[in-house]
Amino acid sequence: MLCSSWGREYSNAHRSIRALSKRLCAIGLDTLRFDYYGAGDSGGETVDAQLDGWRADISTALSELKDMSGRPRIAVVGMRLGATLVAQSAQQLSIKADNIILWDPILCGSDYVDSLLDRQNRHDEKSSDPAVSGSSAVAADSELGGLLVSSSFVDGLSSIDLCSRRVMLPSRVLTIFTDGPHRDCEIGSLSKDSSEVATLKAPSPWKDSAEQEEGLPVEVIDRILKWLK
Amino acid sequence: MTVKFVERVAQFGPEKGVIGIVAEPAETTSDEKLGVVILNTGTIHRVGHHRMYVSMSRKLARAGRTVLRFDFSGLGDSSPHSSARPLLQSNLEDIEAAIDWLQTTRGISQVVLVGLCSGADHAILYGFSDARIVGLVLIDPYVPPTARYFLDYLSRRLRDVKSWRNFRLHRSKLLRRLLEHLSQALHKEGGPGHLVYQGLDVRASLEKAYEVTTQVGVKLLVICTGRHHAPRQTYREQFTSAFSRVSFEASLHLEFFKDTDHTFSSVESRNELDELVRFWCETTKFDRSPFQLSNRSDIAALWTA
Repeated sequence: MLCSSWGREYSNAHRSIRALSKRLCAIGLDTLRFDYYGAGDSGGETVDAQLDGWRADISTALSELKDMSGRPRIAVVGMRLGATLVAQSAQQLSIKADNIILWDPILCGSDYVDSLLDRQNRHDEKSSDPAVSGSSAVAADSELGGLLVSSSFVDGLSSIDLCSRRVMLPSRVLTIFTDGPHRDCEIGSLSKDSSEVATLKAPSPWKDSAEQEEGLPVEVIDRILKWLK
Repeated sequence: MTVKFVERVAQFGPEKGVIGIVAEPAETTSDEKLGVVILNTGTIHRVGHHRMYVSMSRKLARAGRTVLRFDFSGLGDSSPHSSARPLLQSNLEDIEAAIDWLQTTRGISQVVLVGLCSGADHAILYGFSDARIVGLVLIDPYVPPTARYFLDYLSRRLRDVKSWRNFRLHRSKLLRRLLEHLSQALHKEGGPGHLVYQGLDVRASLEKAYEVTTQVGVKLLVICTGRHHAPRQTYREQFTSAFSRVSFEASLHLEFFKDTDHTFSSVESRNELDELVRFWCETTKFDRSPFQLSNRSDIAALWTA
Protein backbone atom coordinates (compact mmCIF):
# COMPACT_ATOMS: atom_id res chain seq x y z
CA MET A 1 0.00 0.00 0.00
CA LEU A 2 1.28 3.41 -0.94
CA CYS A 3 0.72 6.45 1.28
CA SER A 4 1.41 9.78 -0.43
CA SER A 5 2.38 13.14 0.93
CA TRP A 6 -0.03 16.07 0.76
CA GLY A 7 -0.42 19.52 -0.86
CA ARG A 8 2.13 20.48 -3.48
CA GLU A 9 4.29 17.48 -2.62
CA TYR A 10 1.35 15.19 -3.38
CA SER A 11 0.71 16.79 -6.78
CA ASN A 12 4.36 16.90 -7.74
CA ALA A 13 4.99 13.28 -6.76
CA HIS A 14 1.80 11.82 -8.25
CA ARG A 15 3.61 10.56 -11.34
CA SER A 16 6.36 8.88 -9.31
CA ILE A 17 3.90 7.21 -6.95
CA ARG A 18 2.01 5.88 -9.95
CA ALA A 19 5.24 4.67 -11.53
CA LEU A 20 6.11 2.86 -8.30
CA SER A 21 2.69 1.20 -8.18
CA LYS A 22 3.06 0.02 -11.76
CA ARG A 23 6.50 -1.45 -11.05
CA LEU A 24 5.13 -3.23 -7.97
CA CYS A 25 2.23 -4.62 -10.00
CA ALA A 26 4.66 -5.78 -12.64
CA ILE A 27 6.39 -8.05 -10.12
CA GLY A 28 3.06 -9.47 -9.02
CA LEU A 29 2.17 -7.34 -6.02
CA ASP A 30 -1.38 -6.02 -5.68
CA THR A 31 -1.01 -2.34 -4.96
CA LEU A 32 -3.38 0.24 -3.53
CA ARG A 33 -2.82 3.98 -3.53
CA PHE A 34 -5.43 6.38 -2.21
CA ASP A 35 -6.09 10.00 -1.28
CA TYR A 36 -6.63 11.04 2.33
CA TYR A 37 -9.91 12.67 3.32
CA GLY A 38 -9.91 16.27 2.09
CA ALA A 39 -7.01 15.62 -0.30
CA GLY A 40 -6.78 14.77 -4.01
CA ASP A 41 -9.96 13.25 -5.39
CA SER A 42 -11.28 12.12 -2.01
CA GLY A 43 -14.32 13.65 -0.39
CA GLY A 44 -14.16 16.55 2.03
CA GLU A 45 -12.37 19.86 2.09
CA THR A 46 -8.77 20.34 3.14
CA VAL A 47 -9.84 22.58 6.00
CA ASP A 48 -11.72 19.63 7.52
CA ALA A 49 -8.70 17.31 7.37
CA GLN A 50 -6.97 16.16 10.57
CA LEU A 51 -3.81 14.09 10.92
CA ASP A 52 -5.62 11.67 13.27
CA GLY A 53 -8.18 11.21 10.50
CA TRP A 54 -5.46 10.56 7.95
CA ARG A 55 -3.88 7.94 10.21
CA ALA A 56 -7.31 6.33 10.42
CA ASP A 57 -7.56 6.52 6.60
CA ILE A 58 -4.36 4.48 6.38
CA SER A 59 -5.91 1.78 8.56
CA THR A 60 -9.11 1.81 6.49
CA ALA A 61 -7.14 1.52 3.27
CA LEU A 62 -5.10 -1.36 4.71
CA SER A 63 -8.28 -3.26 5.57
CA GLU A 64 -9.60 -2.58 2.09
CA LEU A 65 -6.40 -3.84 0.48
CA LYS A 66 -6.43 -6.96 2.62
CA ASP A 67 -10.07 -7.64 1.69
CA MET A 68 -9.55 -6.99 -2.00
CA SER A 69 -6.30 -8.84 -2.48
CA GLY A 70 -6.66 -11.63 0.06
CA ARG A 71 -2.89 -11.53 0.48
CA PRO A 72 -1.47 -12.79 3.78
CA ARG A 73 1.35 -10.26 3.94
CA ILE A 74 1.19 -6.51 3.51
CA ALA A 75 3.92 -3.93 2.91
CA VAL A 76 3.32 -0.22 3.41
CA VAL A 77 5.31 2.46 1.58
CA GLY A 78 4.97 6.04 2.76
CA MET A 79 6.41 9.13 1.14
CA ARG A 80 7.18 12.33 3.11
CA LEU A 81 4.15 13.05 5.32
CA GLY A 82 2.74 9.68 4.31
CA ALA A 83 5.90 8.01 5.66
CA THR A 84 5.64 9.97 8.88
CA LEU A 85 1.99 9.03 9.40
CA VAL A 86 2.80 5.36 8.73
CA ALA A 87 5.67 5.45 11.23
CA GLN A 88 3.55 7.15 13.87
CA SER A 89 0.67 4.73 13.54
CA ALA A 90 2.58 1.53 12.82
CA GLN A 91 1.52 -0.09 16.08
CA GLN A 92 -2.12 0.95 15.79
CA LEU A 93 -2.79 -0.10 12.19
CA SER A 94 -5.86 -2.26 11.61
CA ILE A 95 -3.69 -4.82 9.83
CA LYS A 96 -0.15 -5.60 10.86
CA ALA A 97 2.31 -4.49 8.22
CA ASP A 98 5.07 -7.02 7.60
CA ASN A 99 7.25 -4.49 5.87
CA ILE A 100 7.42 -0.73 6.17
CA ILE A 101 9.27 1.59 3.83
CA LEU A 102 9.71 5.22 4.80
CA TRP A 103 10.66 7.40 1.83
CA ASP A 104 12.12 10.68 3.03
CA PRO A 105 9.88 10.91 6.08
CA ILE A 106 9.32 14.29 7.70
CA LEU A 107 11.32 13.99 10.89
CA CYS A 108 10.68 17.33 12.56
CA GLY A 109 7.25 18.88 12.09
CA SER A 110 8.14 22.36 13.25
CA ASP A 111 10.99 22.54 10.72
CA TYR A 112 8.62 21.32 8.03
CA VAL A 113 5.94 23.90 8.84
CA ASP A 114 8.61 26.60 8.95
CA SER A 115 9.80 25.57 5.49
CA LEU A 116 6.24 25.79 4.15
CA LEU A 117 5.71 29.20 5.72
CA ASP A 118 9.09 30.39 4.53
CA ARG A 119 8.27 29.27 1.02
CA GLN A 120 4.88 30.98 1.22
CA ASN A 121 6.46 34.21 2.39
CA ARG A 122 9.11 34.10 -0.31
CA HIS A 123 6.44 33.45 -2.92
CA ASP A 124 4.33 36.35 -1.68
CA GLU A 125 7.36 38.58 -1.66
CA LYS A 126 8.35 37.53 -5.18
CA SER A 127 4.80 37.83 -6.49
CA SER A 128 4.03 41.22 -5.04
CA ASP A 129 4.79 44.19 -7.13
CA PRO A 130 5.55 47.15 -4.91
CA ALA A 131 4.93 49.54 -7.74
CA VAL A 132 1.44 48.21 -8.38
CA SER A 133 -0.37 48.04 -5.12
CA GLY A 134 1.91 47.54 -2.20
CA SER A 135 -0.50 44.75 -1.32
CA SER A 136 0.50 42.47 1.48
CA ALA A 137 0.43 38.69 1.47
CA VAL A 138 -3.08 37.36 1.06
CA ALA A 139 -2.39 34.30 3.13
CA ALA A 140 -4.08 34.13 6.48
CA ASP A 141 -2.81 32.11 9.43
CA SER A 142 -4.76 29.07 8.35
CA GLU A 143 -3.41 29.06 4.79
CA LEU A 144 -0.50 26.69 4.44
CA GLY A 145 1.13 25.75 1.15
CA GLY A 146 -1.74 27.41 -0.74
CA LEU A 147 -4.37 25.33 1.04
CA LEU A 148 -6.83 26.31 3.73
CA VAL A 149 -6.13 24.12 6.76
CA SER A 150 -7.37 24.12 10.34
CA SER A 151 -5.18 25.32 13.17
CA SER A 152 -5.34 21.84 14.69
CA PHE A 153 -3.95 20.43 11.44
CA VAL A 154 -1.03 22.86 11.63
CA ASP A 155 -0.56 21.98 15.30
CA GLY A 156 -0.52 18.31 14.34
CA LEU A 157 2.16 18.93 11.73
CA SER A 158 4.22 21.05 14.10
CA SER A 159 4.19 18.40 16.80
CA ILE A 160 5.74 15.72 14.59
CA ASP A 161 8.92 14.34 16.12
CA LEU A 162 9.82 11.08 14.48
CA CYS A 163 12.99 10.77 16.51
CA SER A 164 10.98 10.45 19.67
CA ARG A 165 11.29 7.13 21.47
CA ARG A 166 7.50 7.04 21.61
CA VAL A 167 7.44 6.19 17.88
CA MET A 168 7.22 2.40 17.92
CA LEU A 169 8.15 0.69 14.67
CA PRO A 170 7.87 -2.96 13.68
CA SER A 171 11.02 -4.97 13.17
CA ARG A 172 11.47 -4.68 9.43
CA VAL A 173 11.75 -1.10 8.17
CA LEU A 174 13.59 0.36 5.20
CA THR A 175 14.17 4.10 5.48
CA ILE A 176 15.30 5.94 2.36
CA PHE A 177 16.70 9.44 2.33
CA THR A 178 17.26 11.27 -0.94
CA ASP A 179 16.80 14.88 -0.02
CA GLY A 180 20.38 15.77 0.78
CA PRO A 181 21.67 15.91 4.34
CA HIS A 182 19.02 15.21 6.95
CA ARG A 183 18.91 15.73 10.65
CA ASP A 184 21.02 13.08 12.24
CA CYS A 185 18.65 11.05 14.33
CA GLU A 186 17.36 7.56 14.68
CA ILE A 187 13.71 7.14 13.96
CA GLY A 188 11.85 6.01 17.07
CA SER A 189 12.52 2.46 18.13
CA LEU A 190 14.02 1.36 14.83
CA SER A 191 15.53 -2.12 15.15
CA LYS A 192 19.09 -2.10 13.92
CA ASP A 193 19.14 -5.83 13.24
CA SER A 194 16.47 -6.22 10.59
CA SER A 195 16.02 -2.63 9.45
CA GLU A 196 18.04 -0.56 7.07
CA VAL A 197 18.64 3.10 6.34
CA ALA A 198 19.66 3.94 2.76
CA THR A 199 20.84 7.27 1.47
CA LEU A 200 20.40 7.42 -2.29
CA LYS A 201 21.43 9.95 -4.87
CA ALA A 202 18.08 10.33 -6.61
CA PRO A 203 15.57 12.99 -7.61
CA SER A 204 13.08 14.23 -5.02
CA PRO A 205 9.82 13.98 -6.93
CA TRP A 206 7.74 15.98 -4.46
CA LYS A 207 9.71 19.14 -5.15
CA ASP A 208 8.32 21.68 -7.58
CA SER A 209 8.95 20.71 -11.17
CA ALA A 210 11.13 23.76 -11.66
CA GLU A 211 13.46 22.39 -9.02
CA GLN A 212 13.55 18.79 -10.16
CA GLU A 213 13.93 17.99 -13.79
CA GLU A 214 15.88 14.80 -13.34
CA GLY A 215 12.91 12.55 -14.11
CA LEU A 216 11.62 9.61 -12.13
CA PRO A 217 13.46 8.47 -8.98
CA VAL A 218 14.41 5.14 -10.55
CA GLU A 219 17.08 4.45 -7.92
CA VAL A 220 14.51 4.67 -5.12
CA ILE A 221 11.97 2.53 -6.94
CA ASP A 222 14.62 -0.11 -7.66
CA ARG A 223 15.71 -0.07 -4.01
CA ILE A 224 12.13 -0.54 -2.80
CA LEU A 225 11.58 -3.44 -5.19
CA LYS A 226 14.84 -5.07 -4.11
CA TRP A 227 13.86 -4.76 -0.44
CA LEU A 228 10.43 -6.25 -1.02
CA LYS A 229 11.80 -9.14 -3.06
CA MET B 1 -29.62 27.02 -6.40
CA THR B 2 -27.58 24.48 -4.41
CA VAL B 3 -28.06 20.80 -5.13
CA LYS B 4 -26.53 17.65 -3.75
CA PHE B 5 -23.86 16.22 -6.00
CA VAL B 6 -22.03 12.96 -6.46
CA GLU B 7 -18.61 12.16 -7.87
CA ARG B 8 -17.83 9.08 -9.93
CA VAL B 9 -14.86 7.73 -11.84
CA ALA B 10 -15.06 8.16 -15.62
CA GLN B 11 -13.14 5.91 -18.01
CA PHE B 12 -13.16 6.48 -21.73
CA GLY B 13 -11.00 6.69 -24.83
CA PRO B 14 -9.03 3.83 -26.39
CA GLU B 15 -9.31 0.77 -24.11
CA LYS B 16 -10.90 3.09 -21.53
CA GLY B 17 -7.43 4.24 -20.60
CA VAL B 18 -8.35 7.89 -20.04
CA ILE B 19 -9.32 8.49 -16.42
CA GLY B 20 -11.38 11.30 -14.98
CA ILE B 21 -13.79 12.24 -12.22
CA VAL B 22 -17.28 13.43 -13.04
CA ALA B 23 -19.11 15.59 -10.51
CA GLU B 24 -22.83 15.90 -11.13
CA PRO B 25 -26.10 16.61 -9.37
CA ALA B 26 -27.28 13.58 -7.38
CA GLU B 27 -30.63 13.82 -9.13
CA THR B 28 -31.36 15.23 -12.56
CA THR B 29 -33.45 18.26 -11.77
CA SER B 30 -33.95 19.75 -15.23
CA ASP B 31 -33.24 19.11 -18.86
CA GLU B 32 -30.05 21.18 -18.59
CA LYS B 33 -27.61 19.88 -21.19
CA LEU B 34 -24.64 22.15 -20.59
CA GLY B 35 -21.59 20.33 -19.24
CA VAL B 36 -18.14 21.53 -18.25
CA VAL B 37 -14.83 19.81 -19.04
CA ILE B 38 -11.68 20.87 -17.15
CA LEU B 39 -8.31 20.26 -18.81
CA ASN B 40 -4.87 19.57 -17.26
CA THR B 41 -2.47 22.39 -16.55
CA GLY B 42 0.98 21.32 -17.69
CA THR B 43 1.87 17.98 -16.13
CA ILE B 44 -0.18 18.45 -12.95
CA HIS B 45 -2.92 15.82 -12.79
CA ARG B 46 -6.65 16.47 -12.81
CA VAL B 47 -6.75 17.69 -9.20
CA GLY B 48 -4.96 20.88 -10.27
CA HIS B 49 -2.70 23.26 -8.39
CA HIS B 50 -3.83 23.64 -4.79
CA ARG B 51 -6.70 21.24 -5.57
CA MET B 52 -8.31 24.06 -7.54
CA TYR B 53 -10.18 21.86 -10.01
CA VAL B 54 -11.69 19.71 -7.27
CA SER B 55 -13.29 22.72 -5.60
CA MET B 56 -14.26 24.31 -8.92
CA SER B 57 -15.98 21.16 -10.17
CA ARG B 58 -17.80 20.64 -6.86
CA LYS B 59 -19.08 24.20 -6.80
CA LEU B 60 -20.30 23.93 -10.39
CA ALA B 61 -21.94 20.57 -9.62
CA ARG B 62 -23.70 22.15 -6.61
CA ALA B 63 -25.01 24.73 -9.07
CA GLY B 64 -26.48 21.94 -11.18
CA ARG B 65 -23.73 21.40 -13.76
CA THR B 66 -22.15 18.13 -14.82
CA VAL B 67 -18.39 18.58 -14.67
CA LEU B 68 -15.67 16.25 -15.94
CA ARG B 69 -12.03 16.73 -15.03
CA PHE B 70 -9.70 14.18 -16.55
CA ASP B 71 -6.07 13.39 -17.28
CA PHE B 72 -4.72 13.51 -20.81
CA SER B 73 -3.19 10.23 -21.96
CA GLY B 74 0.16 9.81 -20.25
CA LEU B 75 -0.68 12.20 -17.40
CA GLY B 76 -2.02 11.45 -13.92
CA ASP B 77 -3.82 8.11 -13.88
CA SER B 78 -4.44 7.83 -17.61
CA SER B 79 -2.61 5.28 -19.74
CA PRO B 80 0.05 6.54 -22.12
CA HIS B 81 -1.23 7.25 -25.59
CA SER B 82 -0.45 4.31 -27.76
CA SER B 83 -0.47 5.87 -31.20
CA ALA B 84 2.46 7.41 -32.98
CA ARG B 85 0.58 10.66 -33.34
CA PRO B 86 2.09 13.87 -31.91
CA LEU B 87 1.25 14.60 -28.28
CA LEU B 88 -0.95 17.60 -29.09
CA GLN B 89 -2.99 15.55 -31.55
CA SER B 90 -3.42 12.84 -28.91
CA ASN B 91 -4.55 15.41 -26.33
CA LEU B 92 -7.09 16.93 -28.70
CA GLU B 93 -8.43 13.43 -29.37
CA ASP B 94 -8.75 12.90 -25.61
CA ILE B 95 -10.85 16.07 -25.37
CA GLU B 96 -13.08 14.73 -28.11
CA ALA B 97 -13.35 11.38 -26.29
CA ALA B 98 -14.28 13.17 -23.07
CA ILE B 99 -17.08 15.05 -24.79
CA ASP B 100 -18.25 11.85 -26.54
CA TRP B 101 -18.41 10.21 -23.09
CA LEU B 102 -20.46 13.07 -21.64
CA GLN B 103 -22.81 12.95 -24.60
CA THR B 104 -23.22 9.19 -24.58
CA THR B 105 -23.54 8.62 -20.86
CA ARG B 106 -25.08 11.89 -19.69
CA GLY B 107 -26.87 13.27 -22.75
CA ILE B 108 -24.74 16.43 -22.65
CA SER B 109 -24.90 18.22 -25.99
CA GLN B 110 -23.27 21.54 -25.11
CA VAL B 111 -19.89 21.83 -23.41
CA VAL B 112 -17.75 24.59 -21.91
CA LEU B 113 -14.01 23.82 -21.83
CA VAL B 114 -11.97 25.22 -18.94
CA GLY B 115 -8.16 25.43 -19.09
CA LEU B 116 -5.32 27.24 -17.36
CA CYS B 117 -2.06 28.00 -19.20
CA SER B 118 -1.39 24.99 -21.49
CA GLY B 119 -4.97 23.88 -20.73
CA ALA B 120 -6.19 27.18 -22.20
CA ASP B 121 -3.95 26.65 -25.22
CA HIS B 122 -5.52 23.22 -25.79
CA ALA B 123 -9.00 24.68 -25.39
CA ILE B 124 -8.55 27.43 -27.99
CA LEU B 125 -6.97 24.98 -30.45
CA TYR B 126 -9.84 22.52 -30.03
CA GLY B 127 -12.96 24.61 -29.46
CA PHE B 128 -13.79 25.78 -32.98
CA SER B 129 -13.60 22.28 -34.46
CA ASP B 130 -16.30 20.59 -32.38
CA ALA B 131 -19.88 21.82 -32.74
CA ARG B 132 -20.64 20.72 -29.17
CA ILE B 133 -18.25 23.33 -27.71
CA VAL B 134 -20.25 26.46 -26.94
CA GLY B 135 -17.93 28.23 -24.54
CA LEU B 136 -14.28 28.44 -23.48
CA VAL B 137 -12.92 29.58 -20.14
CA LEU B 138 -9.31 30.50 -20.90
CA ILE B 139 -7.27 31.24 -17.79
CA ASP B 140 -3.90 32.79 -18.56
CA PRO B 141 -3.85 31.71 -22.21
CA TYR B 142 -0.75 32.61 -24.18
CA VAL B 143 -0.88 36.35 -24.79
CA PRO B 144 1.89 37.82 -26.93
CA PRO B 145 3.65 40.80 -25.35
CA THR B 146 2.63 44.24 -26.59
CA ALA B 147 4.49 47.54 -26.60
CA ARG B 148 2.60 48.68 -23.50
CA TYR B 149 3.46 45.40 -21.77
CA PHE B 150 7.17 46.10 -22.24
CA LEU B 151 6.75 49.67 -21.01
CA ASP B 152 4.75 48.57 -17.96
CA TYR B 153 7.20 45.86 -17.16
CA LEU B 154 10.20 48.10 -17.59
CA SER B 155 8.59 50.82 -15.51
CA ARG B 156 7.80 48.43 -12.65
CA ARG B 157 11.24 46.95 -12.59
CA LEU B 158 12.93 50.35 -12.69
CA ARG B 159 10.91 51.36 -9.63
CA ASP B 160 11.91 48.19 -7.81
CA VAL B 161 15.01 48.90 -5.75
CA LYS B 162 15.88 45.23 -5.57
CA SER B 163 16.10 44.89 -9.34
CA TRP B 164 18.68 47.71 -9.41
CA ARG B 165 20.73 45.89 -6.83
CA ASN B 166 20.48 42.70 -8.89
CA PHE B 167 21.32 44.61 -12.05
CA ARG B 168 24.48 45.86 -10.43
CA LEU B 169 25.29 42.30 -9.50
CA HIS B 170 24.58 41.13 -13.04
CA ARG B 171 21.62 39.10 -11.79
CA SER B 172 18.92 41.32 -13.19
CA LYS B 173 15.66 39.52 -13.85
CA LEU B 174 14.60 42.54 -15.85
CA LEU B 175 17.49 42.09 -18.22
CA ARG B 176 16.87 38.37 -18.43
CA ARG B 177 13.16 38.88 -19.09
CA LEU B 178 13.78 41.44 -21.80
CA LEU B 179 16.38 39.20 -23.42
CA GLU B 180 13.94 36.32 -23.18
CA HIS B 181 11.24 38.31 -24.99
CA LEU B 182 13.73 39.48 -27.55
CA SER B 183 14.83 35.91 -28.11
CA GLN B 184 11.23 34.80 -28.47
CA ALA B 185 10.52 37.53 -30.94
CA LEU B 186 13.55 36.56 -32.96
CA HIS B 187 13.01 32.84 -32.80
CA LYS B 188 9.19 32.91 -32.93
CA GLU B 189 8.77 30.67 -29.89
CA GLY B 190 5.87 30.38 -27.48
CA GLY B 191 5.80 31.49 -23.85
CA PRO B 192 7.16 29.48 -20.95
CA GLY B 193 4.73 26.89 -19.64
CA HIS B 194 2.58 27.03 -22.72
CA LEU B 195 2.55 24.79 -25.75
CA VAL B 196 5.67 25.27 -27.82
CA TYR B 197 5.23 26.89 -31.16
CA GLN B 198 7.15 25.31 -33.96
CA GLY B 199 7.19 27.63 -36.90
CA LEU B 200 5.67 30.59 -38.65
CA ASP B 201 4.05 33.29 -36.56
CA VAL B 202 2.58 32.51 -33.14
CA ARG B 203 0.44 35.63 -33.03
CA ALA B 204 -0.98 35.03 -36.51
CA SER B 205 -1.70 31.40 -35.72
CA LEU B 206 -3.54 32.23 -32.53
CA GLU B 207 -5.37 35.07 -34.23
CA LYS B 208 -6.67 32.55 -36.72
CA ALA B 209 -7.83 30.25 -33.91
CA TYR B 210 -9.58 33.09 -32.07
CA GLU B 211 -11.10 34.40 -35.29
CA VAL B 212 -12.71 31.12 -36.30
CA THR B 213 -13.75 30.45 -32.71
CA THR B 214 -15.67 33.70 -32.47
CA GLN B 215 -17.05 33.36 -36.00
CA VAL B 216 -18.76 30.08 -35.14
CA GLY B 217 -20.29 31.75 -32.08
CA VAL B 218 -18.27 30.18 -29.25
CA LYS B 219 -18.38 32.42 -26.17
CA LEU B 220 -15.08 33.26 -24.44
CA LEU B 221 -14.37 34.00 -20.82
CA VAL B 222 -10.71 35.06 -20.72
CA ILE B 223 -9.10 35.54 -17.33
CA CYS B 224 -5.57 36.87 -17.05
CA THR B 225 -3.51 37.20 -13.89
CA GLY B 226 -1.03 39.97 -13.16
CA ARG B 227 0.61 39.21 -9.83
CA HIS B 228 3.93 37.63 -10.54
CA HIS B 229 7.49 38.77 -10.32
CA ALA B 230 7.70 38.49 -14.09
CA PRO B 231 4.06 38.72 -15.21
CA ARG B 232 2.98 37.67 -18.67
CA GLN B 233 0.24 40.26 -18.61
CA THR B 234 0.52 43.70 -17.07
CA TYR B 235 -2.86 45.20 -17.96
CA ARG B 236 -6.40 44.13 -18.64
CA GLU B 237 -6.56 45.03 -22.34
CA GLN B 238 -3.31 43.28 -23.27
CA PHE B 239 -5.31 40.33 -24.57
CA THR B 240 -7.40 42.38 -27.00
CA SER B 241 -4.41 44.53 -27.99
CA ALA B 242 -2.32 41.45 -28.74
CA PHE B 243 -5.07 40.05 -30.94
CA SER B 244 -6.29 43.37 -32.31
CA ARG B 245 -7.24 41.91 -35.69
CA VAL B 246 -9.84 39.60 -34.13
CA SER B 247 -13.41 40.88 -33.98
CA PHE B 248 -14.36 39.55 -30.58
CA GLU B 249 -17.36 41.88 -30.18
CA ALA B 250 -19.91 40.35 -27.78
CA SER B 251 -18.24 36.93 -27.74
CA LEU B 252 -15.63 37.98 -25.22
CA HIS B 253 -15.87 38.52 -21.47
CA LEU B 254 -12.43 39.64 -20.30
CA GLU B 255 -11.31 39.70 -16.67
CA PHE B 256 -7.96 40.71 -15.22
CA PHE B 257 -7.04 39.40 -11.76
CA LYS B 258 -4.39 42.00 -11.07
CA ASP B 259 -3.38 40.67 -7.66
CA THR B 260 -3.54 36.97 -8.44
CA ASP B 261 -0.62 34.73 -9.34
CA HIS B 262 -0.53 32.24 -12.20
CA THR B 263 -1.57 29.16 -10.17
CA PHE B 264 -4.13 30.95 -7.98
CA SER B 265 -2.22 30.04 -4.86
CA SER B 266 -4.46 31.96 -2.48
CA VAL B 267 -7.79 30.55 -1.36
CA GLU B 268 -9.45 33.92 -1.87
CA SER B 269 -8.42 34.13 -5.53
CA ARG B 270 -9.65 30.59 -6.20
CA ASN B 271 -13.01 31.38 -4.63
CA GLU B 272 -13.26 34.48 -6.81
CA LEU B 273 -12.38 32.44 -9.91
CA ASP B 274 -14.92 29.71 -9.08
CA GLU B 275 -17.68 32.26 -8.58
CA LEU B 276 -16.83 34.03 -11.83
CA VAL B 277 -16.91 30.79 -13.84
CA ARG B 278 -20.17 29.68 -12.19
CA PHE B 279 -21.81 33.06 -12.83
CA TRP B 280 -20.59 33.21 -16.44
CA CYS B 281 -21.91 29.71 -17.19
CA GLU B 282 -25.20 30.66 -15.52
CA THR B 283 -25.77 33.96 -17.31
CA THR B 284 -24.22 33.52 -20.75
CA LYS B 285 -26.51 32.78 -23.67
CA PHE B 286 -24.73 30.04 -25.58
CA ASP B 287 -25.80 29.97 -29.21
CA ARG B 288 -23.08 28.46 -31.34
CA SER B 289 -23.63 28.32 -35.06
CA PRO B 290 -23.58 24.79 -36.49
CA PHE B 291 -21.59 26.14 -39.45
CA GLN B 292 -17.99 24.86 -39.49
CA LEU B 293 -15.34 27.21 -40.77
CA SER B 294 -12.09 25.40 -40.38
CA ASN B 295 -10.58 22.05 -39.73
CA ARG B 296 -8.88 21.52 -36.37
CA SER B 297 -5.76 20.07 -37.93
CA ASP B 298 -5.17 23.23 -39.99
CA ILE B 299 -4.24 25.08 -36.83
CA ALA B 300 -3.21 22.26 -34.52
CA ALA B 301 -0.62 21.08 -37.03
CA LEU B 302 1.33 24.26 -36.40
CA TRP B 303 1.88 23.43 -32.76
CA THR B 304 3.68 20.84 -30.76
CA ALA B 305 3.31 20.10 -27.06
